[in-house]
Amino acid sequence: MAEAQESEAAVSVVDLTVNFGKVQALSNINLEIKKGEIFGIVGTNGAGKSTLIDVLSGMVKPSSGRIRVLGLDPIRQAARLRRIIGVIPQETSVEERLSAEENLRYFGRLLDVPSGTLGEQVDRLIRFMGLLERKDDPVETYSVGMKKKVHFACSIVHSPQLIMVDEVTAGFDPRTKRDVEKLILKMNREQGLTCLLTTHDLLDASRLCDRLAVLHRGRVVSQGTWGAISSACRARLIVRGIPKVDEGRLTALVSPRKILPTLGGVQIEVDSRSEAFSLVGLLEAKGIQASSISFEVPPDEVFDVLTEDEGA
Amino acid sequence: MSAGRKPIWIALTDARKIARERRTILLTIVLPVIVVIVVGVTFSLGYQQFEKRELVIGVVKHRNSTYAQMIVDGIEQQNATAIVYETVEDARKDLVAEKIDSIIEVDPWITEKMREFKRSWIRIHADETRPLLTAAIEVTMLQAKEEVVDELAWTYVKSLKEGIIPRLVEALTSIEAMLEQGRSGQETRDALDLLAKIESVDDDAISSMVAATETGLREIMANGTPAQKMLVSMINQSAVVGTLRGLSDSKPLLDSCYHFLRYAYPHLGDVGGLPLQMAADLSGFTSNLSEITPEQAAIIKLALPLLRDRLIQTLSSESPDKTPEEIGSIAETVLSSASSLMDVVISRQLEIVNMSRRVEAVRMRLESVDLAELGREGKSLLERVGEMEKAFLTSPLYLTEMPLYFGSERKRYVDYISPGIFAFGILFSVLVYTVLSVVRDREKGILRRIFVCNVGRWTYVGGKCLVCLGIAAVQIIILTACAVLLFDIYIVNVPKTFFFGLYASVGFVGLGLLVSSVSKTELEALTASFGLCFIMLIISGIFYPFELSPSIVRQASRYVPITYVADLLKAGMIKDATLGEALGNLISVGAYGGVTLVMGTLGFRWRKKG
Repeated sequence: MAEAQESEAAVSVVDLTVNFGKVQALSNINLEIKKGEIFGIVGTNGAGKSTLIDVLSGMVKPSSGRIRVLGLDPIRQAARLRRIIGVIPQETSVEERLSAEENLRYFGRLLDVPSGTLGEQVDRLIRFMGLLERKDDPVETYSVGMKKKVHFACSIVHSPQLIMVDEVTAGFDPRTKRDVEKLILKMNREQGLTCLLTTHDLLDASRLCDRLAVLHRGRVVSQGTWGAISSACRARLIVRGIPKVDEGRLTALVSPRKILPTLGGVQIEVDSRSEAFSLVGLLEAKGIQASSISFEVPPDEVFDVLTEDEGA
Repeated sequence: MSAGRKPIWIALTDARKIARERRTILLTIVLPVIVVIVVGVTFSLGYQQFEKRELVIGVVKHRNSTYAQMIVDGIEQQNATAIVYETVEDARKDLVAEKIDSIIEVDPWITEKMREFKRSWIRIHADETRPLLTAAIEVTMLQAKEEVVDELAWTYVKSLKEGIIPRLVEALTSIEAMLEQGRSGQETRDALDLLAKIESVDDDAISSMVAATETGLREIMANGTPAQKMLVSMINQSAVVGTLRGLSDSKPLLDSCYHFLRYAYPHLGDVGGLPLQMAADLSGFTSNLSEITPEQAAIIKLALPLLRDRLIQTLSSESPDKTPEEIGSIAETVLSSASSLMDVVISRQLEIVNMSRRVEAVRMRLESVDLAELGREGKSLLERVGEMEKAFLTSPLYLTEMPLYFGSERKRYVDYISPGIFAFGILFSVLVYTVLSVVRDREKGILRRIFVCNVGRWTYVGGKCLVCLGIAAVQIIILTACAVLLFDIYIVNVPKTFFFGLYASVGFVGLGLLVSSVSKTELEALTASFGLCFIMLIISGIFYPFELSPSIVRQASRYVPITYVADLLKAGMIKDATLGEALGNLISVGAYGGVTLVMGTLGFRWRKKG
């Protein structure tokens, strides 16, 4: 039964611990990533995200625990594993003096892509990434977003079944971040790639990932869908555009709930989504008009809540 | 795709990157070339005085050879110190102990060679591993050269004056005494005239020439360079006008002179039966032997048989107790010796005429000689050694100082350091390239990416080795072109030099990997590389006189790879050594390269620290 489950799982991590000397980088990690899903590892700097990717890609030997990536042991079967996974490091690491096409051919050869199919694969990726017009220009002349595309393409030139993307959107401007996210979604949807992402931004992860795990000080403090993770936290009902005359009534109506000012209105803390819905109904019943009412769970707060005990 | 081809892909990609990256080309190719050109120019033009350091030379003196002592004297007059050894083994012990710089072995056969007037060399033993030690002294036994003959002409004249003329005067005095005893007044007058003429034979002219020559030589001894002084000393010691000395010492020839003057000369003015023209020529005959022209001597020789009857009459009247047969025999002896005398006169006169011209030339030269220039002129004259044939003079010993790099006068100091320049160029290029490319790729995360591309560290290092081979090949080609075109360096075996250079380049890759392992940033890597190159440069002593280094540095040089690489390149560039001869250095370079390569590969880091 367990074997059958493993075959369904792209990544299976059981009781993983990694020590660097006296420092425990990862502690008792248990994860399971399903094939075809986008899974996010969220954590602050030093939480152990990159170490986890290093372990899963066979670069770092675990101190203890059982790991299977696409059914293979990352250490003992590293060579086989690296032919079917793609590791996308945080920093853009491509040969900047070479063109996009030359980069893809170079890393394709190193990744043992058969020469008969390499040209076709390179052409396909260049089109997929939208680099056709500038495929012969040196990468150093590209924009940051284009370089990132080449960076991604080099990691999937061998058509991996799983990609591991380290710090997927760190250091990007909003437009580039959006482009990268679109690219990941495109690869996932059109190529069926299983994606393991790490990020320190829970908001990004909540937008992009099917499921995620929050890593803090080398330990998984929570994992599941965003909805499940955020359900443990207090949410906010954001009410904007209330007439001045109704502001006093609103305060009295939602008391004793905490009210915080926000741009063009107020935020009202609620315990759950259902409480928020009932509160919206109450406002309507009392005739308090608002130009917009929205509901959100602030990721920062979710993160703070999840790591509260750990941080104490 | 075969994993064995991955190093090739890595190497080709790196080559492509280098070709597109000016900074890398500048650092790995251009900068080393600039460095070696600067060093080459500096050491080929400005530092040759290193060769002039005072040397301590061991002279092995076989069988107490007098020539060995002359060599010792010559050495000590040239700002060098000579130590005499009885055996080569003793000298070699001191050479190994660095008490002496080189050995001159005076072979036992030198004396015989000298006597045979044949050119020969004294063998030189020089330690080839040290630049200054190879600045040895070449001692050459030279057959007399035209210029040396000129210098020696005054000795000829002096011998003529001091050797021949007094003896002739002595002989004529005897003649005079005999004439006084019973000859006619006319004969007496003639004999006295002859005597006076002989006594005044060019005496003034000869004296002035000798004086001028001696003055010049004295000036040289007083103010000349050590080499000039030595030359004069050698001339005084060894120049001998053998044939003239033989003449002066020859009793038969003196007898000939006596016979001629006693019996033949009085009748030469009245020789019957001579052709008219000959008689006319003889009419101007002078009794001064030095003034007899070769033509006159030839006529006299022809005329002598015609004097037979008169001679027999004279001898019969002088010795009435002798039988006609005895008188005839004496007459034959007189005529024969007189004829021999004429032969000698003919050859000597020709020689004297020739020598007189030379003496005059020497005198004029000595009068106008600039002592400061004499040394240079003398050197240029001596360079034409062996071109002349002067068999009638003994060979002077000539001692000259010249740098002998690797046992050949063909080599100059820049030739000597050229392997070091090549070694440094290769070291610099390979080290800087390896360190820079590895650290840069690591900083950019390229190494991490390559690692997850299933490329093992040995595969990656293999790729780097291939690139370094390419860089070294380019570097050697450029350096060879520079060496030949800019410094006129003669490379004995280019293919072997090329092979040895490539072999050495792989040896430096390991060193580069080690440096890259301890360097976090490009700045650290470059600083470490330059520092390492500089330290090895200083310790190995490939660019400067090694003898100036303290002993501890000399010892340290044995642990620096560039020392062996330079020696290996010497084997190809200068010696054309066989692989067997170069085996020691090949093993040393290979072992060093192998160990550093293994250590560098095992300590290789794919990722940045921290």
